Amino acid sequence: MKREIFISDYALLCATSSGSEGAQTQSALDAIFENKSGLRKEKNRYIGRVENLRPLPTTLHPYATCQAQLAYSTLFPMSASIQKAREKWGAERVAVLVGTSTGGIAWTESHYPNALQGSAFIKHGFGAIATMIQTQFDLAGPAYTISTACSSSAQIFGSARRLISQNIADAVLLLGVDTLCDLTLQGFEGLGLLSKERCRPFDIERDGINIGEAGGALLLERERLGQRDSFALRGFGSASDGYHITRPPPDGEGAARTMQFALDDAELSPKDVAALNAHGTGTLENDRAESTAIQSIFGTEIPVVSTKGFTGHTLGACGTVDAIISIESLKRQRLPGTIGFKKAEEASKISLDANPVDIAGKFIASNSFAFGGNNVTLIFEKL
Amino acid sequence: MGIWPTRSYAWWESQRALPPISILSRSAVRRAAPLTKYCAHVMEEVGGFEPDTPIVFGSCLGSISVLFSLLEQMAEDGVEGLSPIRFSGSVHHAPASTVGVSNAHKGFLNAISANEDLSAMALLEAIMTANEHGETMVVIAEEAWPPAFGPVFEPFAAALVLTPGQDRNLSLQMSSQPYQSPLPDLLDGNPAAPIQHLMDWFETAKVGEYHVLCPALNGKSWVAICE
Repeated sequence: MKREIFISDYALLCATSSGSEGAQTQSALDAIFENKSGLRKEKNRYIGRVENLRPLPTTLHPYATCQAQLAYSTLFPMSASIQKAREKWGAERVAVLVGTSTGGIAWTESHYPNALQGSAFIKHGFGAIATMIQTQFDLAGPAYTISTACSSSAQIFGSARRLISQNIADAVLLLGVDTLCDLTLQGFEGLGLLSKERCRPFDIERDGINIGEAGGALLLERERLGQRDSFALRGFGSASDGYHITRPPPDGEGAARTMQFALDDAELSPKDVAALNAHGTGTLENDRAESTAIQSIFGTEIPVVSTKGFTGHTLGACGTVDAIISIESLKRQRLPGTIGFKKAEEASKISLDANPVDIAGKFIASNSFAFGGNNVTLIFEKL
Repeated sequence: MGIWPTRSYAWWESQRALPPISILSRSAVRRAAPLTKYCAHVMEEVGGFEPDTPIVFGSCLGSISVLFSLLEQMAEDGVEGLSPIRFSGSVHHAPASTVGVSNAHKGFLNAISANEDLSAMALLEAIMTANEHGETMVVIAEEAWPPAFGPVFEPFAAALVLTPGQDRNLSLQMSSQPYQSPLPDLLDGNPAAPIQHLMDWFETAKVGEYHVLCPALNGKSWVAICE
């Protein structure tokens, strides 16, 4: 059964964004396709920071955190589309799904311990941003957050499709959002996974990740709007490794199974897919397992990219961020370069390029993998 | 034919002490955070799961006590790098994925957070998952919160197995009927606990009956309906 849902609009705010809010998505994507990284060095680490966030309106002040500001700033350029969906379907038929791994932890850590007060739940709680978005756009459908670490905002695509295909909603506003916080940096430091240099996904000399913050939002609807360049979520696959909390199995078995599930769901064969946007964080074990998994499902010819060298690893936001970059790749029929990549390990035969390459086709796959062996593959279609 | 819970079990602290847990390996039990132990206990009591059983986990704040222990560690001077076990245990879905990893779970696993409507949103996601993938386990749990986060309540955890092909069908709808908590003082305010009353209702619900589950936006409520 084909269960396509249609993408009416999207917005991206990440380290490569520049200029006014009206141009934040275009500037972010242009920079990525022009091979310009948004990572900057701060305190001996490369960070993907988002600048110039929009102040929250008074009505949203109870939610005032940097995550709320990033969410609000990401969504603001989509206001007209969201309003249109609300008018078309009714407020109770528009759902809100947020994917985040950090929630309001940045606020909590900056107020810990003495300045934490009674409002901590609305600042810290993972569900708060979903409620804020409902308030911002006067929406009244189901609203919740999915938090499965770095696959959070890839998982929300599966939930969105369930909400629409099971007739609980007609439109779903998706937001992946995560902000920089010390706890995350110190956590990855403790795991020995942070690089002191710019990350080099899939490169033989890779030594870890750079952390970034970002917001990526998409409006998914039951019906196609009919514009010339339109896109759909064609396939969703998700599975667990069942192996280790922080490490993938070396053969990438769970990731491979997830990619196959997505292909089965999309009713496609690997050769139908024009390109693959890898999770590709730049850690030794994750990239090795992922390239093995890609080879086992897609072979060695499919063009593969990791965009973490542009934005940093945006954790819970990377599912929607990579989805938008993937959709843009279909639109431009061009795949960004894997910035930082020079030479692959001997065993890795996947097709990577440090510079953008032309692609030809209607379908692209996007991987997001997380702690707990929580894997998601999305497949998008250019209609 | 519909989707209806065929197995369910709830635990809360004042009801009984947490018994030994066999669904986790000994080393996993030793390292497990309190919320992980609560989840493991109810997942075990409800009969465990197959490697490909979809699991939906719901909690507002997850293992907030682990997060606070990390903040405490960071507050100490000169800390460079947090405990890997505690850091990976602080992510929201860690309680369910820890049990999953211990049991070589390879199926779909999702983790929900919401507000006062947590039990409805987790159940909604689980019903939709069961429709899509077949029999699904949903685990809804909340440990006690730090005082700044709101009401004082005791820990609560519940697991339900939603099975397709049943005579009755469970659905959820928003209602203008206000929610009035029937929970005792120690559970009142725990966003996972409304599921306990729902479990009682599952036993006797007849087609056409409904149960007001939990609060929703704007003074409304989420209602469980037996179809």
